[in-house]
Amino acid sequence: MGKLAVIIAFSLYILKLAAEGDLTVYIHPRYVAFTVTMALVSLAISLSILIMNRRKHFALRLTRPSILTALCLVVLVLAFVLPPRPLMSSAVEQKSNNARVGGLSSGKLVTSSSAGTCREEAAGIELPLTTIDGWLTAFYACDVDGGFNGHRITLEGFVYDPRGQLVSDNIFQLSRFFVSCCAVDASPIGLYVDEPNWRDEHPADSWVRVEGALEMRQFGADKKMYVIKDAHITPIPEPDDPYEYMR
Amino acid sequence: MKNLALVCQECQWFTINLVKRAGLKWGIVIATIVAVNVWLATHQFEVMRFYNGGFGEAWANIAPKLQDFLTLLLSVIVEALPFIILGVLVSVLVQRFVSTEKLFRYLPKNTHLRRIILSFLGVFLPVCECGNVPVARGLMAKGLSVPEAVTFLLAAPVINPITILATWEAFSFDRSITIWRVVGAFLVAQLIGLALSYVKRPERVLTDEFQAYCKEATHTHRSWKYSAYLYRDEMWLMLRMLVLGAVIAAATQVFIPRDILATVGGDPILSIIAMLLLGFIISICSSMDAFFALAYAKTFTSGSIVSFLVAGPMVDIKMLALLKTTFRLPFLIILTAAILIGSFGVGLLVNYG
Repeated sequence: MGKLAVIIAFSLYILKLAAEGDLTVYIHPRYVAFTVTMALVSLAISLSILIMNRRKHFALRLTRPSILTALCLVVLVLAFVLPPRPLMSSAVEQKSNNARVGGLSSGKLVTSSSAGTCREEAAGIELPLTTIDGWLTAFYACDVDGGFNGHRITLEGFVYDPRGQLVSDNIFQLSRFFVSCCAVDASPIGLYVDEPNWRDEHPADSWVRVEGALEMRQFGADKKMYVIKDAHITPIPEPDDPYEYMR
Repeated sequence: MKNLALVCQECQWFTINLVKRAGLKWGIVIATIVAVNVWLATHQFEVMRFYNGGFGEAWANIAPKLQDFLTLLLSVIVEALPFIILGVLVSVLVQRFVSTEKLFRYLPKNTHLRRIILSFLGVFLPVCECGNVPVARGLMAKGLSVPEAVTFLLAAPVINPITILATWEAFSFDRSITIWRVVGAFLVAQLIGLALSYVKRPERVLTDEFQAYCKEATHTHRSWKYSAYLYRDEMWLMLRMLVLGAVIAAATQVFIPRDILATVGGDPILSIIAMLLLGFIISICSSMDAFFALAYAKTFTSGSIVSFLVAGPMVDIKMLALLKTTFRLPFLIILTAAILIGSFGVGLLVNYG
């Protein structure tokens, strides 16, 4: 019965997450239907074994006890007891090896200085964009220096404190995680926001909506990034789908 | 195939024996203590800080990391679980309805062609590598030669629909990983099978017990009740492996300093060695290893991910324990070396090709 109890518990855990709408904290929304279906199938099979055995005695006869079983139980208990929490600031730091911020990752330089805008010429990009990932892709596709300057955007994300990485202390990072399969492959993405008093009103990890205008700025000797200025920042509750997901 | 559950139990036994065993009672006690502590720390955090400032501060640094750890750990489990349920289900149904004798009858006579066909047999028998050992034993008992059985054993866990589907979904951002995995596994299995076919009297590599076993006939259990129990036992085996794999994957992401990860993972040769070693030690099954590898996908070179995905299902500590029921130790050492070198080659091909 012990084996069966653990298998049932895992199915119930998935169904509980689904009922509370928390599956997207862990996986891409495209898997939700499949995951719930398989959990139900597993539950049905497990219950049918239970029914087949109903005349037998219900002595709690567990298989060989082991560290692995203990680990399984610890994980199950934690999964049920703790509220689901999406990846936030602490994970941004740890995963910063593959972060994409401000449109230019790994020191890509915007070389062309010709005047002009990107609005029309960036092929395949439909404005207005509503996600951080969408904007970063747009910045990448357009190599006109400051081609998006003055463009007004509205984005949602959580506040990340970039600490010593910047020259200015007036800037925070509007951040989000980008997920292609599940939280394990999440990579941090973000845009800098220029807001002198952000520390007083918007602590790290609080969720905000930022409305403002894009401006390309120079950071240090060889780094140029888009920053959101003249920002209007409103606190929002944590979104139902905490990450941005690959289409 | 009657020994499937039995041999899997053996492999489970072996893995368990590697770590010191503890009673289930202790498991429950530890689980409760950890749960209560973590609950206190997260929900009553302010109270704790009030009582002991120093500890509270230290905790404030580690608490978010622990929460990230749990999120990542559960994410591997939630993502892989439906694929595992599907895999176990298909494997149980195949054992219920597909007769290996019939499949065996349709094989061509030419030995080279036979090996090629056999490496695709996994498409019809989608069981993971644990389950493949008893299948291969059964096939040899019915007259398949050693090189042919080994080719099947190495290729089938990767070239099967469940593994391919899981890898395809996990690496949706880089489809080439899946293609490389299938091609690499096919190449390595074929090369080893070809080399073995030049060995005189390949039966020498089999243990005496197994040669005796071959003389007995195997018969298949076919009842829904048996299938249901098989489902339960396979799920149990998989779940515990999944939890272990998820813990290791999440821990490397959260607790290993990112400088180290970046240095090792970015090096085209070092990263392959690291991933091969990791795959050999953790011994997780082919139906879920793609989700495990995903944890390393962004920091480790593509070649290292591919060589992990090729070598992992072919040989690891758990597989060696299982294979020892059938093959002699000197052969297993050579086989392991050949697989690791082959997968290393595939990894290099991906990184430099």
